[in-house]
Amino acid sequence: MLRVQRVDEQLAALQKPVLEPMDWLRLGSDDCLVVCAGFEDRAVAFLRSAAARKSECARVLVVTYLPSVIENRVAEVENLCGAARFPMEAVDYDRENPSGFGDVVCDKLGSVPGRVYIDVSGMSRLLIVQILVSLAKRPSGLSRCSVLYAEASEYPPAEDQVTDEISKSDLDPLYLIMLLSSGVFEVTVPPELASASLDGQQIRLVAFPSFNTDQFTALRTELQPSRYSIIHGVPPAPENKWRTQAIAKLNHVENLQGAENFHVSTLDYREILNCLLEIYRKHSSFERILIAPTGSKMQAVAVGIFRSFVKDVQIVYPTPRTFTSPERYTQGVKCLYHLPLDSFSLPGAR
Amino acid sequence: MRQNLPDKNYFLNKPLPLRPAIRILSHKGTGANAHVFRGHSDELGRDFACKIIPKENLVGAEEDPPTWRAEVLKANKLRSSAVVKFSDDTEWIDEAAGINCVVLISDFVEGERLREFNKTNKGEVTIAFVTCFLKSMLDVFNDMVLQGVEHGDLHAGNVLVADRSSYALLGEQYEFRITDFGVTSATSEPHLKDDFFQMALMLRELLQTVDYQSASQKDKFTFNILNDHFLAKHLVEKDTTLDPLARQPRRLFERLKEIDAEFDSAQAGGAAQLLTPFDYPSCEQIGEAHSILKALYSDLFLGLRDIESRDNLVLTGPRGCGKSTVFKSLSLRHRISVGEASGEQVQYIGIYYRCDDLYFAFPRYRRPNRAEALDLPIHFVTCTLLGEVLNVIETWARANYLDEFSREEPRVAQKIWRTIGLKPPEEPGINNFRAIVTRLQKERLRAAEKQRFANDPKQTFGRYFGADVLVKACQAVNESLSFLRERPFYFFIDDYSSPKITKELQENLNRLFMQRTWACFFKLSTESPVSFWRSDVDGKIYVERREFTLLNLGVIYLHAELEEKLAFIEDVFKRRLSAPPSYPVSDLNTLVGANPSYINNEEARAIRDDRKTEFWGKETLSRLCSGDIHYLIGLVGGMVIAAGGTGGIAREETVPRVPASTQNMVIREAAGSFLKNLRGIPKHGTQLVAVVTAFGNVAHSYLKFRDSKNEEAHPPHQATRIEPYEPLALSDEAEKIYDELLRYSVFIEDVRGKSRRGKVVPRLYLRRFLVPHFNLTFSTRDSVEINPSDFEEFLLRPAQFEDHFRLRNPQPPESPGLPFDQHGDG
Repeated sequence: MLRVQRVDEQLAALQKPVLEPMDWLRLGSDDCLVVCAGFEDRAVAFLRSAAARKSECARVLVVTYLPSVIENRVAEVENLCGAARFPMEAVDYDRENPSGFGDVVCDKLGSVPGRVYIDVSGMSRLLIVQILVSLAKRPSGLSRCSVLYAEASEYPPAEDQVTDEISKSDLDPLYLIMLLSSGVFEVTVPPELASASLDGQQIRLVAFPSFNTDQFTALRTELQPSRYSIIHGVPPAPENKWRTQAIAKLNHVENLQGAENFHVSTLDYREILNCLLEIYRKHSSFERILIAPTGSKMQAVAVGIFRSFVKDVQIVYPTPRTFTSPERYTQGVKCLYHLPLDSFSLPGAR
Repeated sequence: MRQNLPDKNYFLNKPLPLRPAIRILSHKGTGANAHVFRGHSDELGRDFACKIIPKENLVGAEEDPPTWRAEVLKANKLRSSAVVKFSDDTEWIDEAAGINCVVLISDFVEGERLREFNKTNKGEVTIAFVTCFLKSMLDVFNDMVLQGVEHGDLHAGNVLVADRSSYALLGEQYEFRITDFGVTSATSEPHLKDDFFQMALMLRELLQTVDYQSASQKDKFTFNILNDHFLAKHLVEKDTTLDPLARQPRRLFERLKEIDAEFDSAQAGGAAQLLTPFDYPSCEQIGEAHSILKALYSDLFLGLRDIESRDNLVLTGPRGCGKSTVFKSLSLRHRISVGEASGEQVQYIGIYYRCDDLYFAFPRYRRPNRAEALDLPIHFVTCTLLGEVLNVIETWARANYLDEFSREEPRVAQKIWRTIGLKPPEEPGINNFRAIVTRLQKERLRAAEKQRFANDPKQTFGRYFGADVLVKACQAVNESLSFLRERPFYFFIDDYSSPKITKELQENLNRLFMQRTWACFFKLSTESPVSFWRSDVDGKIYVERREFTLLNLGVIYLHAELEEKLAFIEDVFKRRLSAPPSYPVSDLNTLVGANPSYINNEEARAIRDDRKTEFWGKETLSRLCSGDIHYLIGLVGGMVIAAGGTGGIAREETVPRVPASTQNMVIREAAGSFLKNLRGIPKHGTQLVAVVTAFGNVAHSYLKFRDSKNEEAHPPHQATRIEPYEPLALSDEAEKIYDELLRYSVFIEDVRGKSRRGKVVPRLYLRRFLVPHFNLTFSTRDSVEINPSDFEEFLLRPAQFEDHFRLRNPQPPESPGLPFDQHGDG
């Protein structure tokens, strides 16, 4: 077969590693862990594990959020690093001015002789994409890089709370639903994740509706897409399956004319990666594809891998304005996962 | 495997023994059976290519006549100028040095082998280059098939990218040439390689060097055809029963030429058809389905004559008012697609451009610190617009002025290359519009990519287009093609709106868009009067009616006669209702009925008496319209759904098919839905809802408790607009809210108002479809007059404002202490 494989076809043909459960994390002295000092329990699960396992003096790059939230675990991260004698460096991520931050992280990382571990558990979805795309641009690409993900024990909001909010919203169209976050600061278009190759095309929005309905509304209002691919996240735990339908209802997805709908796992990144490849294959010839990674963390990982290969799609992100109180966010840690990215080495552009 | 080859250095600087006029100058390459040298004849003043082959490597060298000679001369039957033919042969024998060779002499072709060209241009090879290569090869192959000649060893090493630029004045400066015809069969190669398969291998090499992801839409489409059809099938298949195009150079050539038309057709076919009258309420959703756009476009569009005038224009109006529809419908690309672009029908060359593209390339644009980076956006836009100009002209000219265009294209292309000052790529096939467009696409990307480093002191910046290049290029094209004379270019720049197209980006680009020339007119559409900036980076202020005309469709609709609006709305719905096959209703009157009896004062009294107005009928639709036809389409679609869908209205036999009560319910719900979406917009959404709600509640209280003083019958006060006493002097934060209210057309600004001191102050009209939500009437007679300080509070603290000013009891007719007064001049 002489046919030339396009880059999306090369990605589709790759053997994609499985997300592996792991009991603990042990870092080598040449390794570097990138972690976000968010406010959820799971944000520091890997760091705690590495510190407890007496890892060698690996570097830790801590991303702290601006505007800062008092409940963020910066002090806890510092204490853990101090106790484990991990050399630590902090870098601020301004959620309202995120452009170019992936490159900032890569500059801070410099040359890492060992592995780079990206702990996405407490990370902004946009930041996950930014970091992965920047890492992939390095000469070594994503080789010797891993994603770490801590699954939470509990995922608020509770079903009855959501049902209650939907009823109130049905009665009063102006009722403000506040579940995990609400409002949108801005629809961010990071220049490094932009694509200028597609002039004069229809806009297709690949959207991941969430409990923050303002995110989807802002995307529709600001970007005025004419085509939709809606990604419905399906949680792995049976007790959370109700969320898929609830989110669709909250966002009035059924009213979207001509939208195509996909139901994919929130945990198995391969499902959404294949889904994105399918959307690209079907629509990229005549449409400008915008992806707004507001789904799960692992779905954001898939978007990052996808965007590392396929550059003629555009990442947009409706940055939430306000978050609910941290105690109403995820609780506990159920399972730790590891995803080696070595097999996603970047081929030449095509 | 190289065999029997003598040391190449032996030959250098020696004359050919039997053709002493030719001296060997330099070694050019070595293959399995031969060396190739560059030779020169002072006598003839020419260079030659001298292929020196040991006789052991030639077939039948000892026979008389030698067998190899017949093989080499076969190629001379070919008539294609791309074939490099051998003009002579001679021997080179030096027994002492062990040399016993034949020398084949041909013209020396200045240029690079395709293999080296690919290596040095990785990622730079364009689809235009690849198609040019294929066309050239198929041209030669056609000759080969007709003459029964095979090459037998085609590869990227014996295809030359020939450079004629040092001597040629006419024709292409670069072209493909094929060498070594007959050499394989003349030498002792074990077998001949299949020429078509070898061409496929070369095509593969070329496609591997193309940067697919940076290519334009059309180039991607072409890439996929070349890859999926030519490479995977046509060129490698030998059996014509499996592929009718296999081994058929002429048919393959024709297939190549069809790709452009196929692209246009595929592009249009990508959009779905209209299944219900309410599909695709907006132009963006229609996409490239030009037949649908044509079917739905009404030339009763208010303001059309102004839009088509030969003047620069800024068009504004609420979202969904048809700005995009009219702009796109006037573009030449659309008119070609719907068969309305004959020479007599086209008065100007309309070029449509949607600024989304600019937004994604220059998000949150700020003026760069480095002056060298200032022109990046202009470069980007110029490349984009000029690319579309050339694409559209080519398509239009090929359909209407083929002879002139075919004759003039190379000359005009050369002129454009010179005008825009870009160095053409050093490759064949560049003096045509397609090649320029491909280059412009690359330049677009270069500008967008460079923008990321616009403030980086370590970056070096090359040359970028200034504000003059687009106009000059258009003038050059216009002057060079007779069919363009008297047909200026109209650039329809859609959605040129801040904040997406930031103030600083507009100030940069206004240097281009505010130019006044005979060849180019710029028509900008923008969301609201405040989303367009009237200045540029040089500090120049652009003045309405001098540099441009401002046309606000929202205001036009506010003041248009009911009948005029209704005629347009009925035409739009007539087109939509008759578009899907067998739709049960074909006109608006049947669907929603006529309700001409609405009288504002009576409705106001009804509201005052707590009787709810029932909104229904086509006249009501007309009153609800602030130009936002997109909203009306959705609204009527919602009414049909609420009435049981298409089946429901098909079963109904009365007029209106949608009952009045259902219409009323949908109209009221739609306003609530608008406010909900408004709240979801970034930054100020919640505040905008609070502001408009405060106004609505206060105006409603006014209707309830205050009479209109200028009317003898003392009807209820009916204000749906705000009229400031004095020109506004808002704080920055209040101004942001004000701008957002206009941006989302919550209020429509009419600058024809006057203050108490005679100064011009804008009136703000409540968006018409919010009138039912706040229980008001459509009257435009009364105003809410307001002090600047109250206005500030209204924008920043709407709840307090409402608390202060909402009336709770009936008011005496003249009450000087009241916060609002009536204007009474409506």
